[in-house]
Amino acid sequence: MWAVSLLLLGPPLAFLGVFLLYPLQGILRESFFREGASLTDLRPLIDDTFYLERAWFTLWQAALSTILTLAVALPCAFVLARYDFRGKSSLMAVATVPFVLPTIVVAVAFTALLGPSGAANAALMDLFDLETPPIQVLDTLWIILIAHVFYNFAMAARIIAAYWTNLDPRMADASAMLGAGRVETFFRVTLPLLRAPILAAGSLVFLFCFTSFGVILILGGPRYGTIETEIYHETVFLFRLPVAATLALIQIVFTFFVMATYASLQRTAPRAAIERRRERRWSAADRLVVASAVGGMLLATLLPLGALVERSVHSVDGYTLHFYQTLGENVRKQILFVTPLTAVRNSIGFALLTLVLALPIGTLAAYGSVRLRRHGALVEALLLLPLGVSAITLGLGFIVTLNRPPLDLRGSWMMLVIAHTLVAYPFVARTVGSQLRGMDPRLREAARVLGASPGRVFLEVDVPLIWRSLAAGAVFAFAVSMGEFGATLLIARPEWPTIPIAIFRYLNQPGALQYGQALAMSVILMGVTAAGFLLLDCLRYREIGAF
Amino acid sequence: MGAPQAEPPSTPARLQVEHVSFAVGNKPILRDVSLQAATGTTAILGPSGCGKTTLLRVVAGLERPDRGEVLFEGKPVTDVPAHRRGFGMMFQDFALFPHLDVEGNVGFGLRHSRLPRPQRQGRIADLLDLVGLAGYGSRTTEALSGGERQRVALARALAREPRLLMLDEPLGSLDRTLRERLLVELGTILARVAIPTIYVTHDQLEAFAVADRIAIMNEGTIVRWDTPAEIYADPRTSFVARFLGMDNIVDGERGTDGVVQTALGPWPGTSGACGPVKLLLRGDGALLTESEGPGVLSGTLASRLFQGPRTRVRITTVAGELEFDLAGETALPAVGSAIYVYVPAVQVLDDAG
Repeated sequence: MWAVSLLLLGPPLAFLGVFLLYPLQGILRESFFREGASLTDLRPLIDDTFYLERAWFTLWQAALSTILTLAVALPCAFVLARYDFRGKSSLMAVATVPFVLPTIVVAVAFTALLGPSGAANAALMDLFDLETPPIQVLDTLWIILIAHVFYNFAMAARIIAAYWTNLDPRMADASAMLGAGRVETFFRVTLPLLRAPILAAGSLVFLFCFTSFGVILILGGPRYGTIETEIYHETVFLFRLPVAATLALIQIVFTFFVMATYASLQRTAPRAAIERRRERRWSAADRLVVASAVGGMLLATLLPLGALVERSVHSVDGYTLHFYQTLGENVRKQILFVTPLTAVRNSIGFALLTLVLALPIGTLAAYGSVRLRRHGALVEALLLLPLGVSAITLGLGFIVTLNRPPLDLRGSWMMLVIAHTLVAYPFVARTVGSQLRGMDPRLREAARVLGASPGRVFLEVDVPLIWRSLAAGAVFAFAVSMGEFGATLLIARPEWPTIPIAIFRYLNQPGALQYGQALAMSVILMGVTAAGFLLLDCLRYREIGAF
Repeated sequence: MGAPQAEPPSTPARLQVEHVSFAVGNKPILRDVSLQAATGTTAILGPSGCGKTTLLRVVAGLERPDRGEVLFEGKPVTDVPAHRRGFGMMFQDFALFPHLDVEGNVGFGLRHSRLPRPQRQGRIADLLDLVGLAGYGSRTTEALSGGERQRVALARALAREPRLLMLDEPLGSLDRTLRERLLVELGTILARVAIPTIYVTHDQLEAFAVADRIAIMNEGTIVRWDTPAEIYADPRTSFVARFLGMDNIVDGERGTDGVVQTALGPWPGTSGACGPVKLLLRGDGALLTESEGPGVLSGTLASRLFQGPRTRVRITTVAGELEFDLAGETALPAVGSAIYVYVPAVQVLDDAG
């Protein structure tokens, strides 16, 4: 048993060791053990309460974001789990689009919606004849929280709904027969039974908000920063590697524990309900509940994305395709200018290469960790660690370690693909793993007893059952690679920028034209990512949320 | 089917179900069902999918009927939500709360009682005592065996002293020996708490054992409502006969003399109209004889199954294969040779299908 698990886990663990742990070790060495290193390098950390404040902010904004996300996700999960209606799977797919969108697009979408010259302000100023934009949320805590909720609520709703759907409906019936009304039943029966998925979703959301980078960097402005943005700042602008490394270490230790919590919670899969929910007719109240949930989810999802599209074709002179048309022109005569087509080609190329690596690694990781009984949650947390490691830390580690033998990848596109694979394969491992966990082991045993070789069992039993989750994992991996920003920002060579990098370059240049071009570029990226994701819906893979 | 519905009960009805219909989409589940239940135990017996659990859920208030009324002690309760009806229900497979221990499960409904906390503890202890689980209060439900779960579910349903107790296949998921033992215990407990009870089951032996009256359901209607003894003595319709495991039904034609002509020969007179009828040859009490005669059936022995107190024989006749239970140690002819069986009990079934 152990031997097989080790055989399966070998490749993913080796990959993890070489490309995550070794670079992390490199950061440590570079920071504390190089010549002339001394603890005085860390003086800023101790002397300045600034870092403590940033850490404290990181913690509580993540906690607050998580609570708000869960508060939005629970009613959505209720409707998704308890009602069947036409277009439900499409709604779930649409609502999950933000989650697979690059953070940078989400951030840009929110500036397009709520920024001073955003769609909401433009509409309000038009409507009430105002001189100044009434909504001033940019560079405030609110926009960070809103963006985090927007980013994560559908994913959290899916995790909870997947579990909720399988809750035995007779639990609520039994509660009613014992005299409890609907509200009391919710608090005394349903909520306690949903504890595991709520905590699992919560820990994942917390993790994403804790290591949030693009949203904070672009929407938070100079006033707000997290450990993650501080690592970036220390590395790129202040060149204080020891400080950055220490912050990265603190972050990793913390995220590992959250990840372990998540992994162990996620392992308690719900037992399938003995009795399925009964079909029933809808009352007026049912219609109202479903309609408001569907409307709310659509509005929350489509408003920022719609604003992004609208603003990308809007200039002071009215609607125009100017920003798209000028994407290909090197207005400022930059040396490192790339056409958007090149950026799209780069992004898709890297994403496809990432798939080639992430699919086998993720699948092996899923098979290996599902088989493990003891320490399974710990191994899984280790395998999922890249989800919680800051992209900036990763990029930093690559820079300091993969620049010399035995692994000299300087200037090689391999470095980018490997970094993307690291952040992408956990998604494959999760989607495939959750499917495997739900699989009846007797199916394989039956095939074995009927004389099938292990290879045939895999091809004829496993593959037909897991291919949908494999496809889901593939789309996630593709989307993650398309949108990866933090690590790419540090390691991408100027000659082969990806779409997110191109967007970031446009954003960093002053001027309405450049901002419009950033929007246009974001729309392109959103289109490519959403197309891939909506394709998934055609595969009818409903349990995407169960990763 | 023109079968009789409710017959007047001997004691005044507590629960009245009046002309209840229920459909899911276009599929009717209950069709104009009426039922009355007095004190004691009423069993609702029927094959799976006949609508008996739905009927129970309508009574409980978990489903709303499309048409019809549910009354309790003369008052309509159709619009009263389940949690205000004061009924208790034990679910199939028990539906124990996995996040609560035994005590939490049994005491779940007591929050609404006016009992102060210490007395609640006492009540839980009493209930656990009643079902024979004294001292099990702090165990998790996961740690219980099937029989123990059944008892916890019963104690939970009884905790609020319900006005009506409903049991949905209470022994359905247990193995046979355990079922037989718990059936006796359940009967004792139900008698002791003296709460009017509706007992849903697909197993006629269970229904016969616990019920004062049995309502037999088929395809959303109640096709028979009577005491267990009456139903067993005279199934009346071929559906009830077959459901009770009496499969020896042969087609016949009743002549003006009352004699029924069948493929097996003439069977002596019964009263009733002339025309096609179905005859039920009771399988129990049949005797092996040496030769043909009145009331004797002939055929070849197809198989025999020694079951201890009786031997079940299948006989190939001109009217198909028929099955009879003979006394356990009957000396039988060899399989494939001729056999003659005297059938003392023959009943005419009054349905055409």
